[in-house]
Amino acid sequence: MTSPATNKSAAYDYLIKLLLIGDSGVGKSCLLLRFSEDSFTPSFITTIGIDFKIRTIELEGKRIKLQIWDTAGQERFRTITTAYYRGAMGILLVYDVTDEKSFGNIRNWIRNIEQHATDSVNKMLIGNKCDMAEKKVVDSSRGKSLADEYGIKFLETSAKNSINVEEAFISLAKDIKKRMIDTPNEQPQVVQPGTNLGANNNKKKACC
Amino acid sequence: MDTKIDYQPTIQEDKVVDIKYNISSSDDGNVINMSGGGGGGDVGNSCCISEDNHQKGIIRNSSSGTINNILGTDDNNNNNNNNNSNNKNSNNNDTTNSTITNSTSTNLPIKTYIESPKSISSDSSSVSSSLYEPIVKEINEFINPPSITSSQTIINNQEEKDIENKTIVNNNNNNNSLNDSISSSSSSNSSSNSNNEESNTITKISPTIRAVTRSSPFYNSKAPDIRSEVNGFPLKLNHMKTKEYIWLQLIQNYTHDNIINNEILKSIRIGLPKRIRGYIWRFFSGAIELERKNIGVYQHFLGKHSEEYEYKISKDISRTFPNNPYFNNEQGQNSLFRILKAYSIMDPEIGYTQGMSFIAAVLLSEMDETESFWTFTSIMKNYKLSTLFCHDLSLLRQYLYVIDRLIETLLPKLFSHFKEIGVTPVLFASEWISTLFTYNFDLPISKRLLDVFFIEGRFYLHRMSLAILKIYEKQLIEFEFEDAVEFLKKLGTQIDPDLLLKTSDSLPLTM
Repeated sequence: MTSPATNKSAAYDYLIKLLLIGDSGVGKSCLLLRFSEDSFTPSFITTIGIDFKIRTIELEGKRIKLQIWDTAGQERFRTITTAYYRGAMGILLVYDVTDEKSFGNIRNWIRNIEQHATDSVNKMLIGNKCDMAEKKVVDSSRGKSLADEYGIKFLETSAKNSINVEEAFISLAKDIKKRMIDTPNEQPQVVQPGTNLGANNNKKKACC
Repeated sequence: MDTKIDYQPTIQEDKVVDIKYNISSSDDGNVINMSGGGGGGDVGNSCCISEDNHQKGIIRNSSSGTINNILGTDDNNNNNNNNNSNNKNSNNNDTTNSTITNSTSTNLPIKTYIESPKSISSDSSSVSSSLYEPIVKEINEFINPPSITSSQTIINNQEEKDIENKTIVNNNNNNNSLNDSISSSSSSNSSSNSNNEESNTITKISPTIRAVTRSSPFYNSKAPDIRSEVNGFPLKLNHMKTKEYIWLQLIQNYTHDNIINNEILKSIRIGLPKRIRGYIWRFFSGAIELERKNIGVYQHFLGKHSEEYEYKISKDISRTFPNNPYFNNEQGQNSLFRILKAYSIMDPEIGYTQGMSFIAAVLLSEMDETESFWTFTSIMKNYKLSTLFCHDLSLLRQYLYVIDRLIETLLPKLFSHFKEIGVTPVLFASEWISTLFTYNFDLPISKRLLDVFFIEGRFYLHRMSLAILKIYEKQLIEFEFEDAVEFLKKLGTQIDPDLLLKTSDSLPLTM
């Protein structure tokens, strides 16, 4: 078997771990595929368990490697995925703007974060599938006000049409960089349950 | 086997035991917990599939040895093998077979691994007839007595308790009207494909039901209709290829002595011939028997609705093997939806969990919809895998725990490397186990593994998982976290199934 992704371990200054959560079928994997490989497929396979993808970006002259975890959306899988909440520095809460239920469940997901993630984790609310205007049932203002309620950022995205996907991830990464790297004194000790990267340890400065 | 083993690792909360499916066999006092929600009892009898009309259980031939012996890899397995074979009349075989590995304490090394591929029922008649009780019981609650006719309802055995039979037609196996009703219902079963196996299926099991072959399209064939001799083998003698004929003989022998012999164990590892794969899966899983005894039941559950599960299932249908032409068409997807929906309604405490659709889809590629439903049900109930999918995924977590312990014991170098880089079984084995090695595996490879699973039972899933890791141990030790996980998620497309099975058999998991 060929060695996978030989370039993945390319040099980086910081590693930031993000997590995507939200109901099944809201488009978490599609958002991730759009962001990591800039592609989209309507026939995406169900995510079973947990997976991740990598993309390295440059922020203010620093190479930031984003390790983005994707989880199975079905509630029962939380029993095996919540272990990964603690390692996350940022969490994207995703709902489907055409699916009222998935929006309603955001509060449950936030409760999960409160239980299992670190207190200071950066969060962002994402209303995905905003390209499907005719099927939209969750108005933008409702998304916005929910995000305001929790004091987090909000964006409507379309993985299909590549709307706001880049912005969402990068904006979250910026906030994390600001919190953990630019003001390291406030940085909590981040414990990674199973994600201690061995690669480029010598090059990492902070945040993990 | 010094070590008393507790197949309950660290998971203690959420004992979701589906009481409905608790089955107790009155003769020997063994309790077989069909739901297996964390109970030790569910570990044993992992797949008691038997011909209850004949009061047979699946027994391994003591002289045949284990697979390891066949392959000449592990003599120690005799111990286990003898246990299995000698326990036919022993009361404690449940515990013997049910044990897997060690210790409630998480750090104890595993010393014993007792494989219970085919469970050997100490009293196969009671166990096997009980096997169908859950379904029958379940149905009992739903089916309205007046609407029942002999051709539409559950055919139950006369051995089963009358109390179970309020709405169930109680039949003597020699009853001609039963035969008629079976044949009429089978021919009128609109959901089944026009697959010839449908009627054959029903002719299986009891020689006294051979009259059903009247409805068989092969009835007028000049060739001797030996299918009825071997429980409805789906091919005629003069149409068979050599391998298929060999399987015909194996099945024939098996129906006589109920022993999973060397030949079967050896042949199953070579891979089943394409044309009879579905049939063999159904045969050894007990699905043929389940279907025969529950005619009309699948249709019944199709008529029910569960908004919650239908919503969840519908989200996954198009996302199950989306790139496989067989499943990205409407017909295949509709069948898949119906199977999962019927199962979720029939077993509401399990309902639907992601992962199920992959198993059901692979079944659908080898058999028709109704057959797939019953084979799926067999996997859940006869092989006791339903708690892989219960609300807290208790069995899946047990698997992950045991796999972790097995890596620690058998592949210590890999274990310490995994520990160092932070790889845990949940990252790769959750999808291996919960989809029975179908997710991210090439379909032909998955099917080879399923062939063996259907004979060996659910404990073989540990072996397969460990074998994969063992095969790639050298590479994995070189990888850092990200590459290791990516590698583990992709290897299913290129692993050599022969090597995987050989390695699985060679693992020293038995004392």
